[in-house]
Amino acid sequence: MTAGDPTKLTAVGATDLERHLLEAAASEQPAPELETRMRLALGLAPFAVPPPAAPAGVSSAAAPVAAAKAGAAGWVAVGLVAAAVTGGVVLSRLRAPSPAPVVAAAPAAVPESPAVEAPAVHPTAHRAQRVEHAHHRPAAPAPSAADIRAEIALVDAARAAVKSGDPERALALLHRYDATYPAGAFRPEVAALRIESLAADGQTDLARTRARDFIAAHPDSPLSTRLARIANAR
Amino acid sequence: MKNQDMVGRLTLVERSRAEAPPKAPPPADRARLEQMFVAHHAMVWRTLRRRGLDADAAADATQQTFLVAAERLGDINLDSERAFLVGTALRVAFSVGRKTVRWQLEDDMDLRAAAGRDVLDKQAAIELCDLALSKVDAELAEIFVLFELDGLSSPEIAALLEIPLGTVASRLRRAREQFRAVVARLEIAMRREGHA
Repeated sequence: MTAGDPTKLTAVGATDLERHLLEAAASEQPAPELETRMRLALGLAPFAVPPPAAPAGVSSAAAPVAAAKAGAAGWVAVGLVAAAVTGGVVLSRLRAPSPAPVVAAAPAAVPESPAVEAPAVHPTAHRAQRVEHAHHRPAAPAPSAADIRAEIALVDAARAAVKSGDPERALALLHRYDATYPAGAFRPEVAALRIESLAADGQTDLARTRARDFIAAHPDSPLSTRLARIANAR
Repeated sequence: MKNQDMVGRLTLVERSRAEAPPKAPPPADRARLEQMFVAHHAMVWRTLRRRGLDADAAADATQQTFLVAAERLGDINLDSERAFLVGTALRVAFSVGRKTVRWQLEDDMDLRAAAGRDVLDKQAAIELCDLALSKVDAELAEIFVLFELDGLSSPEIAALLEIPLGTVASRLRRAREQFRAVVARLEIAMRREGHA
């Protein structure tokens, strides 16, 4: 808001219903699982890392140093787990300089970068976006940090198994993931890994069919880019 | 066609990125990206939701928006982060939206059906807001959402859409008129249903 701008409708002049609808829309939040998914895809920590508190007995002068060390260690750990889970989707560009088990990176489908100061948008772009909001999923309960770490460990192990040429073990681990975390945060990644495991296991027809189904269901996902090779295999 | 050109160039961008070797960013960039994500990801996601993307698609598009930002961190001024992200999000929404377009009914059948919703339920209120927005002319709704929900100023919107400041003001005024007229019809329908 700048000087001379009109006042927001919610501030002045709105009816109760108008204000209620606008405030509800303006405060909508992505579900925790979606936030985790976005974070991992960007190579960030799966959950926001609060600034570490200074331990008891640490002087105020030493606290920033301790915090910096803890932060650095956190980033290394984050780099490891995130690289393991996302399969290098984003970390091909953003990974931490660590010995993370990064698998073959696939390019993410990134649109053209707009101008930095004033990225212009086609004025009628909104016209193409008129869709109904008929399919709202109930928000899943927020997974605990321990759950997330356990999920990541399973996905990491499955990925390592595929990379080491043991797709049977990978499929078993992915089956265990499904059984343990039916509403897990990494279901899309698990589905993609399963398809890659099937392909590595020689079940090419099934892998191709599932890859095509996945791409049809998630046409805009970077994981689809990764699976295109399997979907197009002859 | 401007937008066809844009889509065509995306393919080139993706191809060049596939061939380019990955480059590890300095830790400061990771910290900046984390700060930007914490500060703005929910706003970007909401921006995309109001353009008609469902929760999952909006998350994917938010992710793509921040991917673009990650590539341009050094060029984005601290005080223009929000405008940059919203502008990028709108472009991403346009590119993914063409696969999910579904036109709204032109009459008030859906409005009458919506009148049975319990507006005290937050999710219902959000859906009713989106329904009302869908009844506003598209180019007007764009301005309305940017100003009323995304919190952009008129000059920011003018720069973003490359239109004169006066056009922003007139479209906002007309958008409000249309939005308020729809909500008024909704309120009447809800009273009939006993929900208001």
